[in-house]
Order: sequence, then structure tokens, then C-alpha cells
Amino acid sequence: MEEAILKVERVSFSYKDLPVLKDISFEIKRGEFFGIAGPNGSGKTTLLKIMDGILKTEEGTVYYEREVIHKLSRKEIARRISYVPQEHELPFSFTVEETVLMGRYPHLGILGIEGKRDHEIVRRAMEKCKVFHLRERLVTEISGGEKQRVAIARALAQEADVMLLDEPTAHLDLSSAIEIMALLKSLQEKEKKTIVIASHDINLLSNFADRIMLIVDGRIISIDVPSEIFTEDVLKKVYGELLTVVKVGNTPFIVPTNLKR
Amino acid sequence: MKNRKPFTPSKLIKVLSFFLLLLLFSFFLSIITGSVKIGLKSAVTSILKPDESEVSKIIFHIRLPRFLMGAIAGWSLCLSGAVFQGILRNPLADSYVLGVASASALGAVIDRLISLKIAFLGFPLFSFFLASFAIAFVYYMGMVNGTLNTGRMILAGVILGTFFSACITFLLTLLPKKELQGIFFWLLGDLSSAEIKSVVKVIPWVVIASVPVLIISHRLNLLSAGEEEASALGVNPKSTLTIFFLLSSLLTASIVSQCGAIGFVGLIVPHLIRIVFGPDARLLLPASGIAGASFLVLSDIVAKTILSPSEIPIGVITAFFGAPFFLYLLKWKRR
Repeated sequence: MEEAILKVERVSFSYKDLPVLKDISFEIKRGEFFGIAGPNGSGKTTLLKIMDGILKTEEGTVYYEREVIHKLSRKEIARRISYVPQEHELPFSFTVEETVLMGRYPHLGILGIEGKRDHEIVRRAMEKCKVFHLRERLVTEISGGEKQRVAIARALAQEADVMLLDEPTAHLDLSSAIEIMALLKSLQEKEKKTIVIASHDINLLSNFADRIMLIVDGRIISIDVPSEIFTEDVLKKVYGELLTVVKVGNTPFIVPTNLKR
Repeated sequence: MKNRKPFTPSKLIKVLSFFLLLLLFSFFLSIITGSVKIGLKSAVTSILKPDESEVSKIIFHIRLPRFLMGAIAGWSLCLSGAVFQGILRNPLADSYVLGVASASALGAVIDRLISLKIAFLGFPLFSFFLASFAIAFVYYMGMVNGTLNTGRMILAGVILGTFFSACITFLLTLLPKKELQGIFFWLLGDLSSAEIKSVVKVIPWVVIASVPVLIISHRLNLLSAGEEEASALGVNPKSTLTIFFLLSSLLTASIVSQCGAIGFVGLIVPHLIRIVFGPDARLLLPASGIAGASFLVLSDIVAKTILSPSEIPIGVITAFFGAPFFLYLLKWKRR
């Protein structure tokens, strides 16, 4: 658990003149469930894209173990890190199985034709994410929660050790959201995946993450285990007087201040 | 199609064999139809044993080149149409609608006017250049914050097309009157003047463009999810897009320079194939190409027989069916 699988070192990034990330450094350990929390517009999505090498850093470096991410080819990155973006819209009616098969692309030869083993891996990925029964359905006609499971199954088919997910529960109702988080937790425990989630839902993160990093306006406020990170002090810095912490067992829950009584 | 199985090589072979049979059928039909009646039996005999007879002459000098040009044009336009739809993530994309056809046509007119001495083995220089420019222009005009906006893209294409058409009209006014009829016919898309010489000129460019497109077709599937997602799945979006832009422009330009702008074929055929066999580009591209070859040959048979003995430019036939089809897709088939 101690070895860092991903290391972000002094990363800054801006869109045109607008600075989005300011001198960010942190490490993610192999096999951990890491939450990136913060309000909308705090730079979470940009950070994930930089960690996956989709965006190039202006300053700073991202390492996968000892390799510098931006020196790897797209295929090499895709075999190490998978990324599930917040919105995924396929313009054409691919079936669920065809979509998950796309996750095998970084392992295919020049002609891009899947073999028996690829189909087997995809079948298992669909089973683990409970979308196997949907395999012949079109991705355009399944529910939001199912779509998210398909996207996770596709990422799983990539067989990368690290999975990055951007707001995987954003458009889901509470029970679907918890199902998705439980699925990710089981991938961490059974498949030994390193899970990195960006989310503004701090309560959901507190329940599942091993460690949480809180970022606001592109700066790291703190990194800690869920039971320690949301102190009144930190919350005041981020949300003003609006929110307060109550603990259920050892897990902190953030509630609107006037509900505390 | 609810029970669609994913892509496998054996599925590809089955589907392609079916369309090759259709192409064989359209071959025989195109050989025996025309202003001079030729029976199937005498056609087959003179293909197998060419002689100095009238039938042989008609077949080898008129009908065979016309069939070949039609098939190559259909292949290229449908293949590039399917590629345009993939990279623009839009089932409505077509070289005609996007202004790529007009751009190629303008380029071809320029190529003709200055009859380039540097023209290397019939390479459609200006046509290719303007077509690549048009598709790249439309892509970047349509891109808003990382997503492609259909409305903006089609509008940009239509405007670009109108502009290039105006340029063509301007250039045509500089021409002597007696050449106008020929160029006018060619602009509307025409196979009637196909010669074996022009077929030979087109083939190398079509092969050079088609082979790499088919080899990397799987990347089109990933790109249709958007640049960032494709990137996360292991595709380098910028270089892949550039390859597809250039090769599909080359396909369009080679055909437009020889046969003019035959519209909407590249829209109709890939669309129907997608409905029946699904959107996987590894099957969609070659199947659209071969089906498109048959489709254009069959449309050409209609063009030369419907008002026989006079002929209609084939572009008129395809636009006649294609334009309503496009409107139907625009109104009722949006996701």
C-alpha cells in the first residue's frame, strides 16, 4: 500500500489567462480509494485530465510509478490508467457490448480486431459491473445508472491498474449513486484497482474513500482520511458558515448549518 | 437491431460477400443496358473473348469504363461519407452538405483551367487542397468548448459551399460558350463521359487513400465518442483526425475531379448500412464502400435509361432521392 502509483508534482495549469490549478503536489498510493473533493469549478476535472495526460501541463510533472506520463504514448497510458469522463455521449447506436469492447483498443494490434481473450475479458468486465444482461441493448436507450456502469465496465476492460472517474454519480439518484460507489469499492478490494474519484458530493466520498483531497480554486486545502479532513475550520474556509459537520460513528456527514440542532 | 452481435472477421466476410454479389449483379445489368440492346449471352461471350465486333467495342469502350468509374466513385464517396460522419460524430455529414464537394469542384475547375503542367499522374492538386481545407474548416467552426455543434457545422458547410459555388460560377463566365455545356454536365455529377484513361488516373489515388482508412477504421469508433474519450482509450486524436481528414478529402477530390459533384450518395448508403449492420466502422466502412459502388452503378443505369435516348446527369438522380432523405433524417432521426 505504501508505494506511490501516481505522483503529481508542482502542477499548474491555466485555460488561456484563467489559472485553474496552482502548484499542486500529491501522491496516490497503489490500491487506495482516493477522493478529490471540492466545489464546482475548483479544478477537479482539469486535474483528472492532466493525470491521464489528456491535457498537457504547463508546469510540473505527473509520474506513473517512475515514468513521466507525457512521455508515454496514448496507448501506453491507456494500458496503465483508465478514465471515465463525466459526460459520455455516443452519437451512434453502439450496443453495450460493442462499447465495452472499445476498452480493449490499447491492447489490440494494428488492425484493431479483438481475439477470443479480449471477448472473454469484456464478458467478465460486464459481469462484474452487472451489465451483462444488457449486452445487446443500445447505449442510447439505457438509464443513466446503467450508462455509468457500462462506462466503468469499459474502463475495467482496459485492464489498467488506475481508474480515474469524474463525477461518476453526478446525474444519479441516491440509490444508484451508492450502487456505483459500492461497485467501485469492490473493484478496489477484489481487483486491486487504484480508484481516484473527483466529486462534489463530499458525504458520498467520506463513506467510501480511504483518503480525500480537498481543492478549492485550484489549490489543495488539505489531504487526509475522511474522519479527519472535514473539520469545522476547513469547512468554514471552503463554504463559509453554510455547512457544518455531524459524525455518525466515525464517518463525518456535512449538513446545512441550521439543521444541526 | 436488438440482437446485434459485435464485430468479428467472419461477420465482416459474410456481409462483404453479400455486397460483392450485388455488385456483380449490377455489373451485368450495366453491361447490357444502354441505347444499344446487348443480350446477356453475347455480352458475356464478348467479355470472355474480346473481338473486333460492334458489341465488343461498345462494351470495352463505353460500358465497362462507365461501370468502373461508377463503382469507383460510389466506393470512394460512400467510404469518405462514412468517415466524415464518424469524425464529425454526426450521421448527417456528407461531402455535399459540408461544402467539401463544392470545394473539390472549385479546385477541379482551377486544375482544369490552368491544366497544371506539374500535375503528377493526374493528382487532383487544387481539388485535394481545397477539400482538406473545407473539412478542417467545418470541423473547427463546429467545435464549441470541446463538443461539436451540429447546427454550426452544417451552417458553416452550407455557407462555404455557397461561396465556392459562386467562385465556380465566376470562373465559368471566363470560359468560351461552347465549353460550358460539358462543364455544366460535369459539375452536376456525370459518368457518361467516363473513359478507361480517366479510370486509370483515379485508381491509384483511391487505393492510396482507401487502404490506410480501412486499416485504421477501428479508431473511428473511438473518435466518435469525442476527442477526450478517444484519447483516454488510447487513440492520439489529433494525428488520427488529420489522417482521416486528408485521406477522405483525397477520396472526394479524386472523384469530383473526374465525375463532378455527385451528391448525397455518401449520406444515404452509410446511413442504411448503419441501420442494418450497426455503427462499427470496421464493418461500416468497407460495406458502405462496396454497397455504394453498386448503388451508384444502379443509379447510373436509371440515369441513362429513364429518358432514353437522352441522358440525365447522375448527380441529378442521387440529389433527387438524397435531398428528401436528408430532410427526413434532419427532422425525424435526430437522437
